[in-house]
Amino acid sequence: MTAFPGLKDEDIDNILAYVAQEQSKPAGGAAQGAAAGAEAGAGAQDSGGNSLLFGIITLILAIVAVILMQINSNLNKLAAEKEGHEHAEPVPFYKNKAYIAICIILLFVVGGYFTIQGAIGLGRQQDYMPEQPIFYSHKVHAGINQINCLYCHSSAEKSKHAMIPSENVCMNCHKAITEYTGPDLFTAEGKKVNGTAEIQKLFDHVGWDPNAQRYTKPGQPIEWVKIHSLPDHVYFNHSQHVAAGKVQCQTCHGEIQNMDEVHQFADLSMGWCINCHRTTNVQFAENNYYSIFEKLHNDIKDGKIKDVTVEMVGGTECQKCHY
Amino acid sequence: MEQKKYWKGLEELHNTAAHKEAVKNEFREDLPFEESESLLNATTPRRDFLKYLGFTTAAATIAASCDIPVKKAIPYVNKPQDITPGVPNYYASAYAVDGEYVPLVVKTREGRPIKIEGNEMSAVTGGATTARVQATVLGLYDVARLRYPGINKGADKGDKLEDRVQELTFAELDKQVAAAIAGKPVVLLSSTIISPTTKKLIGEFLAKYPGSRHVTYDAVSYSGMLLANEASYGKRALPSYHFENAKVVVSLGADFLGTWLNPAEYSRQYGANRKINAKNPEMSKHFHFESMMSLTGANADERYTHRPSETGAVALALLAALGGGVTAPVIADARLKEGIAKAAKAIQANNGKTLVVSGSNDVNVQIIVNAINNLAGANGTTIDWAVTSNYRQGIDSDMAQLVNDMNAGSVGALLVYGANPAYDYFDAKKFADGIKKVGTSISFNDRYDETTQLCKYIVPDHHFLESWGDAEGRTGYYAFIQPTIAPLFKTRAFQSSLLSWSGNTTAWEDYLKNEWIAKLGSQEAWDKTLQDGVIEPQAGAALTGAAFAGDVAGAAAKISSAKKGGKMELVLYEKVAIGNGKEANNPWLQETPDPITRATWDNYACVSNTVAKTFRTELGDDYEIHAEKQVLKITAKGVTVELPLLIVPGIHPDVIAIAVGYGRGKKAFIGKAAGEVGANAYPFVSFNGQTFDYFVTEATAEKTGRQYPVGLTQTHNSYEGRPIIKETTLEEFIKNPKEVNHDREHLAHYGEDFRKDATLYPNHPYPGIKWGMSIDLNTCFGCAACVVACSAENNVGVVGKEQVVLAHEMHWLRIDRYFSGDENNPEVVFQPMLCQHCDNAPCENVCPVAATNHSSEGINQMAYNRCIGTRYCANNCPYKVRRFNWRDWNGADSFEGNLHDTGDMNDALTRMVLNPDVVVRSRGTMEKCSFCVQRLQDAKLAAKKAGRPMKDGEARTACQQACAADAIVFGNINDKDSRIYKVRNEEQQDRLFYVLEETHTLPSINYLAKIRNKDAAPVAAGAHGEEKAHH
Repeated sequence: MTAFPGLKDEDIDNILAYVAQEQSKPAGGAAQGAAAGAEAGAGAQDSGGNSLLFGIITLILAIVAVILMQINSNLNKLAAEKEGHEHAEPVPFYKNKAYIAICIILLFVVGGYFTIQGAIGLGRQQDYMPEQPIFYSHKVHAGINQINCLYCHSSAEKSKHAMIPSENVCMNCHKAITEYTGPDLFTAEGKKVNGTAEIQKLFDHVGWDPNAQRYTKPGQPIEWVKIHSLPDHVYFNHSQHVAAGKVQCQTCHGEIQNMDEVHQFADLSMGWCINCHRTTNVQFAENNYYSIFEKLHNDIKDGKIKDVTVEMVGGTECQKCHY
Repeated sequence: MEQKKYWKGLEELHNTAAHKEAVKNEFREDLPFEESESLLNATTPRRDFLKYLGFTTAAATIAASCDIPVKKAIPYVNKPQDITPGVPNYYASAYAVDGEYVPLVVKTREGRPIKIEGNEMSAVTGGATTARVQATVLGLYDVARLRYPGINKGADKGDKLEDRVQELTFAELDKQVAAAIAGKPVVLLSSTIISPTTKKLIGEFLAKYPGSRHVTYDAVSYSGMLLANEASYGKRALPSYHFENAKVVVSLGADFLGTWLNPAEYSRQYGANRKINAKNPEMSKHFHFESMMSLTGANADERYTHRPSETGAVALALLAALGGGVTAPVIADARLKEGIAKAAKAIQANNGKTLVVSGSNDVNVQIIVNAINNLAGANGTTIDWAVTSNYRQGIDSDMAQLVNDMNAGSVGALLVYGANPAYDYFDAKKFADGIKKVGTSISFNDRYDETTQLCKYIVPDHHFLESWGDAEGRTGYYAFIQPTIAPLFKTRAFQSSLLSWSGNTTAWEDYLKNEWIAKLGSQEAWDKTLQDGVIEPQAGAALTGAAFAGDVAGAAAKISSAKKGGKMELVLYEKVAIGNGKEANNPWLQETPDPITRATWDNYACVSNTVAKTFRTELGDDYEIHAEKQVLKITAKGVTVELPLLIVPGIHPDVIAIAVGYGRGKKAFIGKAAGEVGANAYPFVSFNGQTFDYFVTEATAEKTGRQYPVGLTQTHNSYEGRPIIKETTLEEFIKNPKEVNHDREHLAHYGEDFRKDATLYPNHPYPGIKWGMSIDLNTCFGCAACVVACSAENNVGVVGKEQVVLAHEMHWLRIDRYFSGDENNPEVVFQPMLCQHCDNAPCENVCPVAATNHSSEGINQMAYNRCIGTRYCANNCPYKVRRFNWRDWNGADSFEGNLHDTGDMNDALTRMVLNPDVVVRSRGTMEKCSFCVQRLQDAKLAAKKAGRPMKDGEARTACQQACAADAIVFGNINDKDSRIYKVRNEEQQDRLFYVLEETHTLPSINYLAKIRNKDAAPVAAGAHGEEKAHH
């Protein structure tokens, strides 16, 4: 029995999943793309408000501290004068070497932090959402019409590349579907999109005349803008994850079925990959390939471990992805 | 037991001062930029340094923080069903260049051939390859290939290809050619063609032009054998040899493991009898008689040298010793005489189980060899006359006749296909003069080579990876060639041209298909054939002999009256990688070190140390340390060449040996790798009225005083005398199999388990897979097929000669060649050396950034992008297998100034050969053998996707797959059913050793000790006595 008898198991799972997802997010980071967008956004604002408050308090306290230090030094000086001690002319604070040193160190640390963060982020393009030659909506295809991802990205379970489908795959359906009748489509800027005109762009590329129902000229490939790019020194294999690992497309690509225009959901950094490899279980019992890992099988039998993560079968070693 | 001393060169044998110095400074290297005096001596170098630092940081920041480039992802319009991007397709094909017959499987990625493997369905080669076969995939992307058909404008039009050849369309060209050759007798000049359908087509084409003929000309000819076989057995053909049936192999200068006829086939057969079964140890015995040091000679159990002029005498003496009823000329050399007697004795003791082969191109010598084989019962046991080989068909006198006819003006039209006599004919000038008197000359060659430059019309043929074809290596053994890529350039199959000019409108592809469907019966059978790549008869047919009817007395008389040699003699040979020079413009092959000399990128005059001493009095034994070699002027039969002197221990003291295949024409025409490299040795060939002689009996060598650097890898990577090789004799091994490894017993001193007890480090667990490799020194012949295969598979950089001189070569796998014993008649051992993937790797401990570390599968991993290039690991590697990228060899960097281009390896066209699954390493990173981790990952993934454990043999390294003799076994040691487990724990425990095992690096690669089938070694005699006392 739980304390909330009104919640079904499914709801609890959803809450847990939500909590896990929120925890994996960097604090204060933009949180779009999440299913519960509004609430998450509110949460982010809350934490943002708090840190602003803390920042202001810190700043005020720092100013107070500096003023107090100034007062202290002035009082000391007055006391010394009163007692008739010789005292060196005080150095103004902007010439005080200690202050300058502290400032430089602070500047170095803060500047260094941001420089390094910036450098690490070089070449990463989370949330990248370029304009594509055709306004192709994954939401319409994968969401509303429930087309399986692998229908178009058929080599995701065969090859390292998921493959952008060739135009002949589009034409399997679009020979019959020549106009868009679904809900209104909008670009990210809020501009309305004419779905039928976008389908016509496909026909133009592939050389199809919808009225005559035949190909009238040789096809031209569509030059899609690549969104997910890994560096050359990374070997990534889709089939490894989709076919062997049984990972859902959405794990890395986000709620693609809700995206009109696709953006890069994950930052595709090495830390992001490794984190997943540390926490994801392999199909240890189901896949006979893993039968050779005798010790791990024994450990499961003995109850020492419950699951086998990718890391435990060597999935975080350098040469699993870099060669 | 006293360790037998192994040496890579004389400098190591004598441990000279310069050798010590070189070993000490192996890793010392000056910074690779020019030292600027003004910078270092400036008054404020520190400020300058800061300025430069600031500038470069700012520049790098600006360069790096620019917008991320927008990348496009462009799918197919209509995806071919059998292409999945990222998944390789394999097509069967065959290497049939110049008569060699090696059925292949070609790996293509996204429509680009990137790797070649042997076709294991072939009974002839069984998946074996050679260095040259492995490298042909790079030949496809050769920048110097002709890109369009055209008409030659003449030699006075400058040195640019586009100025010399005017492009024509095929239609226009066909019109002009048809008009030019109409009604004239045509001569087709080609190297050996083993395609039956092409031959049929040639016949049809020549029939259209009455009086026409086909002349076959081989640059390195075997016509002596063909004619001798005709005289002995009535067949102008080569038999098929079966080295696997021979208990005794006697080679009279035939380099059958390196260059003789079809080395992939013979290496495999010969290797079968060099493997040792520990339960019943036996192996073939190999006698070798030669003038220079060949790869095959280096692998012989007993090797003897003679002068080239004595070749016939040696054959005759052997026949005489076997009771052949002939008298041989006197042989003065006592050692040689003894060797012949020994060989004769061994042959007699193994009648019916012997094979004698000869590399001589002299008819009389080959008749004697036939007589020996006949006496020894080889016909029908090791020589099969029912199935003949088509590997070489050229008849030298036909060629000589053709050149005479050309000069007489009686040749109407000359079509040159795959032959290059203007370069490799001994009297190239006469050929060049003759071609001017020929009505119309047409070349089908792939580049603007020496002969094509003289021809009027140029109709470049496809590369074989772009074309259709078939090949009949042995009678009834067919392999098929199919395109693996659409033609890169405006080239046309040679056969299409012939079809077009003989008025046949059938496409060549259809012609071939129709021909074979008629033979096979159906389209399905043809499809199956293309898939398999071979049609070969069922194995098990008995070998057939032939009745010998040669005129032994006549041949013996001619040999006895042959000209005696002068003070020095000269012999020509083919290098294993370069061959006759046709495929010389291949940077992989040029950079492959010669198995014997370990030299790259050049040819040179090989002489013995005795001869060399007369030229290098001032240098002594330090000569070999320095890349700069003395240049000799070598004169024979009125021809002079200047070549650097290289000392080759084991060469006959009165002989100079020079490799053919070098001294090609201009770089702009031949290619950047082969053009203007070395000197052409073909002019030393002579025509004796019947056949070409590849030796000169009278030669002189004199000093020029000049020096010339040679890129030798011999002195790189010194082991500083540490024992790394184990060998014994067969006799010894049978008597006491544990003896060869008896020093391993000392390891017991550390405790019961050397692995665990001899170290403070924790033991690595290997929960799933533990990769391991075993290399059999008995079946490694040093042919370097694995070296090229490794380069192809792993995008290993080509560095060029200047960088080889600086010891910057990048080969992940090298084959060390060690001499031992007598300096003049040394024994040779080849040891492939690659990353040993130590379980206690010394490199891992010293990396400051943990870029190299250990995997749970026992792989010593190298993360290139983590590497900051300190080179500590290379310094600490006892096997010297780590390679540092001093430059950007493969175009990995975006900074153009970093590029180092050798042989157009950075050209966009050449880069198509790169394996997309392996990253190209940038400048400043360390690299080394990865055990072909991309192949291992691929095999694991296939098993995972199928939900089953991995099978043994599914994951194979490139070197293992390329090896003709199966010297390399690789697999999962944790799998008790794997071959590698059985080799280590059941089959070969007595011979198994690890290099530098006592240092407790725990390598993942073991070697199997070499066993020689020879009498107790004379050098070992002393050590032997000691050994007995010791026990």
